[in-house]
Amino acid sequence: MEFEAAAALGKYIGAGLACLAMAGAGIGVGHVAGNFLAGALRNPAAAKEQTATLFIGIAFAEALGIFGLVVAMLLLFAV
Amino acid sequence: MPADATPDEGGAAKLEAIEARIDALRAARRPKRLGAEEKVSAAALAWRMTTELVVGVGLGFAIGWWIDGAAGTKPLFLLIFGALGFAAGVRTMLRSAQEVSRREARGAEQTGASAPPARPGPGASADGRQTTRG
Amino acid sequence: MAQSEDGGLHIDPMSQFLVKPLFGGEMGLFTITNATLWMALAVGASSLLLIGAVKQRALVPGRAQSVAELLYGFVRQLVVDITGEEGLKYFPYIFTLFVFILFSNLLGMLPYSFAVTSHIAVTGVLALMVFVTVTAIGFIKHGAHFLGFFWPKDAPGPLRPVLMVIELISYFVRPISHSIRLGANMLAGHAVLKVFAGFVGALGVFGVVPLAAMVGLTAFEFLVAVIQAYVFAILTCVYLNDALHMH
Repeated sequence: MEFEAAAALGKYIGAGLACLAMAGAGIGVGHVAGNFLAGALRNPAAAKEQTATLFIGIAFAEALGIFGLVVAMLLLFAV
Repeated sequence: MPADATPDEGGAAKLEAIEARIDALRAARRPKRLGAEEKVSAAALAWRMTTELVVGVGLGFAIGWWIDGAAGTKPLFLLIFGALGFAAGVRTMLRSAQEVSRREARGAEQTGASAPPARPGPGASADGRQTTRG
Repeated sequence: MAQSEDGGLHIDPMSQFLVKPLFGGEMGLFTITNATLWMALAVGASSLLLIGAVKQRALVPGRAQSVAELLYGFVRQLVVDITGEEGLKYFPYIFTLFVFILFSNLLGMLPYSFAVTSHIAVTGVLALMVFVTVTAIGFIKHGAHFLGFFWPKDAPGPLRPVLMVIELISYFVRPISHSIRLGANMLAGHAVLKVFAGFVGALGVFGVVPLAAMVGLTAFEFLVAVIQAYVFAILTCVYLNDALHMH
């Protein structure tokens, strides 16, 4: 009984911790977009061709955050 | 105008003139609309690439999990297919990035040719096809 | 519902997605549920617009007919832009998909309605249909050459099997991400609206703040409803283009 309660507690704490991945994703996306904007303001002519690269960076950063979310969901509903 | 009233010759010419005017007006309006459209589709694109990456990894892990369950080799295939799935996700993502930048290049080409036809005729779209396929 | 009698914080964002039998009784394979009802309504509404409004075939279109014509022309241009003239053969299919998703999304925005497209089962079937159709078209057009899609010719020898597995997985990624994107967007949007509705009930007078946020969110959700239908149609065209031209 005690053990089960502890396991549930650990589950919820772990899920909460896993959501911290989103903080990292937020920082990452901010870095990518901010640096892109800084570069684009310096050389607006070249910015248009680099949007695909921008999205690759954003997608990578955001995907890591979503992995954290998936881990949290797994902890909550599958473990 | 009732549907069965067949327009005579003068009416047809008039209609064509109206059509041309509508096309011209549409062409004049087009750039403004593209700006808003582009921004929205940019967000949709970022979201699309993210899901592709995540789904790639997830699918890889699922396949690995399934093979492990069938063969009884617990972590081996999970790891292998997790890595392969990540590669597949990146591959899909890069492909969609490529496709979008190709389309963008084509769009720049079209707007660069000063007065673009309001409705790209067969010739224009054939050109576009070639750049897309190459 | 989202708010309780005593005004306390009581948020239940997921119960709106429950599939319930409309006329009671057991849930079977052919039970008429609220999902069935709203799908039928989507089909009915789109038929009303696309058949009913265009029936007169007026040379100078009225309001309803212009909307229908605009919709038609928009999707047709999309298909031509992405797949070229060869893709026009498949335009009815893409147009049907687009209109069905658009109407389900928009009908889902009505209060007390049911968002059909927020169910991954619905979007999954739509994406699976696209996947099977496109793969079949590829095989019919190119025969066994279509398998060359998965065989990287310009890679060094020993790497090829590994790359083939990667290509194969990435081919199967597409229907899954295709369905998840639409389903997750609608699910998240409706759940967020419900959560904010719960705040309105809980905060009393200060509920005006989340209420204002909800007005903005509702507008945003309408945008998302249209955009997601558009994206679904675009990606169908892209996959079709891959099958038709194989690059």
